[in-house]
Amino acid sequence: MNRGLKTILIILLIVLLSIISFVGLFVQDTKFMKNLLPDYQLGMDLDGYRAVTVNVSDETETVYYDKDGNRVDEEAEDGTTEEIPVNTADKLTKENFEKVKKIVQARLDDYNVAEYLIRLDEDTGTMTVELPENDSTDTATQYIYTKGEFTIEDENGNVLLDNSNLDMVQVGYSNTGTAGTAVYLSFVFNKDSEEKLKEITNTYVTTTNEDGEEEEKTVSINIDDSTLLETSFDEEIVNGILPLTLGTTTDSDTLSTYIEQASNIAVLLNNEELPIEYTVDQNRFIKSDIELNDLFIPAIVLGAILLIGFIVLIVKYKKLGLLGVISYIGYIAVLLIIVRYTNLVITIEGIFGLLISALLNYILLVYVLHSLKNKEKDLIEYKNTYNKSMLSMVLVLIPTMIIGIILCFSTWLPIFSFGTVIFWGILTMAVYNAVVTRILFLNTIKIKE
Amino acid sequence: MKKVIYAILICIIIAGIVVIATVGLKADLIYSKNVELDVYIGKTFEKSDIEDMTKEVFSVDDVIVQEIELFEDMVSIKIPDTLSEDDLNSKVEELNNKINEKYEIENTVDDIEITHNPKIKLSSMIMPYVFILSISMVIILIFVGIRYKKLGAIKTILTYILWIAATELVLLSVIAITRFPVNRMVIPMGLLLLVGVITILGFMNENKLTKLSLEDKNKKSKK
Repeated sequence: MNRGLKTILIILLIVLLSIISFVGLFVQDTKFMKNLLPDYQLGMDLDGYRAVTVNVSDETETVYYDKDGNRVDEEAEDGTTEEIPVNTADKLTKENFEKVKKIVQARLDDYNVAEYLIRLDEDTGTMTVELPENDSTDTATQYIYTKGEFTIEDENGNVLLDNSNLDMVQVGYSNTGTAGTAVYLSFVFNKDSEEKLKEITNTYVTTTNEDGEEEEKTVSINIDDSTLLETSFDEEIVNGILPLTLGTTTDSDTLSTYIEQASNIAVLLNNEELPIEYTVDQNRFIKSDIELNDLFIPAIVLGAILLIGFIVLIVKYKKLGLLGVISYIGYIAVLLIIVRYTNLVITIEGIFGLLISALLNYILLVYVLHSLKNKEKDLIEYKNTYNKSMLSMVLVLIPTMIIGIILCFSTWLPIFSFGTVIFWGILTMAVYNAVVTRILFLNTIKIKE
Repeated sequence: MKKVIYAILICIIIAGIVVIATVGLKADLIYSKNVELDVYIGKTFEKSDIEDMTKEVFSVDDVIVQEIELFEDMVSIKIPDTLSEDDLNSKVEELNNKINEKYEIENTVDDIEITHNPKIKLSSMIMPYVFILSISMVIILIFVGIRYKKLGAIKTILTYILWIAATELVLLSVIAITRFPVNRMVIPMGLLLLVGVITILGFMNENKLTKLSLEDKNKKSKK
């Protein structure tokens, strides 16, 4: 193909990509025009967040006594009642408030909440948690105030096992044949409690009395005030693992609901119970204080800097500089399309990642243009110089790429956002400049001839 | 000249460390203890109007105004938590009157929800970065140690450690000394500087390597 034509085609491609990236790709969708490009996904700082404020509960519970002063479950004739606070004064310590914060933090981490902020008033115990708004926010909110008290109780309400006996809770599922897939929780008890569980599974069983009637001794498995199951045991458990089937189904939606429920319980019980009871004071979505208008002035400043950078390139490197500017615009356009299609969540750190990528690409262009200057007489030398300067630039960028790759493994959204943007920014830079910019620059020598 | 610059940088770092150790860093309103006033207006409003009214009533420069929920008819106003409860209540009443007047509504002070938001520990903002950036740094140092072996692996690694630490410490010290409030931009700025230093050092070392290989070539051709 004619080299000039190739250059024109590439420039047209860059223009097309730039229009798609900066303006959009619109098609008629019923009455409205719809952009085919996915929207930018924004993080908590830029989109808004759910603010959940929880206070230390000042509720009381009524305790009933019979006429002899013994504690009973229901109001007794001639008995008395007493209002006892759910949080006794000795529990309301700075250490316990800190402990609550750590437990909530651990629960949110286990639930893979990508970004959150916890504010704790160490004097009152009031806690405000800011969470990203999405489908799982409501579940995440429950981890802030749910106590997570696990008990296995007998019929009289005596606690046989509790959180202190638990080692961990695992979620499992197995195929049961025609009935479908069973989702179950495995309560793994610690070594010291294995014997106790064994004893329970031998005690709470169904037996037949002398009259031939069946007598069932049951236990209830409870989390906070709700009972998961009331059961007796068919066989002895010796390994310290109590399995509990949540449900069996052939329907994939129901199955994922079961798995989600099981995972939620596991997250709750794999961390300590809250030492204090909390009540929700506020739970509302708050829009970000950073709005499009706020970005106007920084955008103008950056645009002006970029324009000056473009002018410098054109003045210093003439036609090559102009092609460099065109190539640069194309790079930004391609990077932004990649950001949209890979559903990268943009946070403030992510924006800085974009700025760094843009800056590094400019440095790369200047470096390559500087190397190519005055070497336009010999095509071979010209090509070699381009390849060499690209290679050394890539070598310079390897440490930054290492940061990008490692940060991609983070589960903390701002870090992940920065890492992924840097990763895609440098990868795109290497590929784009090795293909598009290379063709643009190498074609100019032929045009000169 | 170099020595003077180094001396100034060392002084800045020492001063910064002293300020951080004694007074600590100044947190931005968003991270510090603040009072949140949630007001239902019932109609659309201009955030700038609310901001101006709040600044005037509370005589503060630092105000954050955010919309609550998606109907754009409720506002959250955050101001520094410095007033006594009585002063706060009287100022809230004054603000309520101004909002009522501006938007022709009849809210009472009781309609305004007042929440005292605790501060966020700055260390909890930094902690997630420490481990993962440390791993990155170790890998980078191993890479530069191998890549720039000819320039002296230990020397190169030490140069990287020194420059990265110095740059980040200077940033932190300048923030501490100038009492610039630590806001959402500070950590990204630190990341920007980190990448900047690594890139500059990379360029310098690549140039040194090129020169070194040219010298080797020249020596060989002379032989």
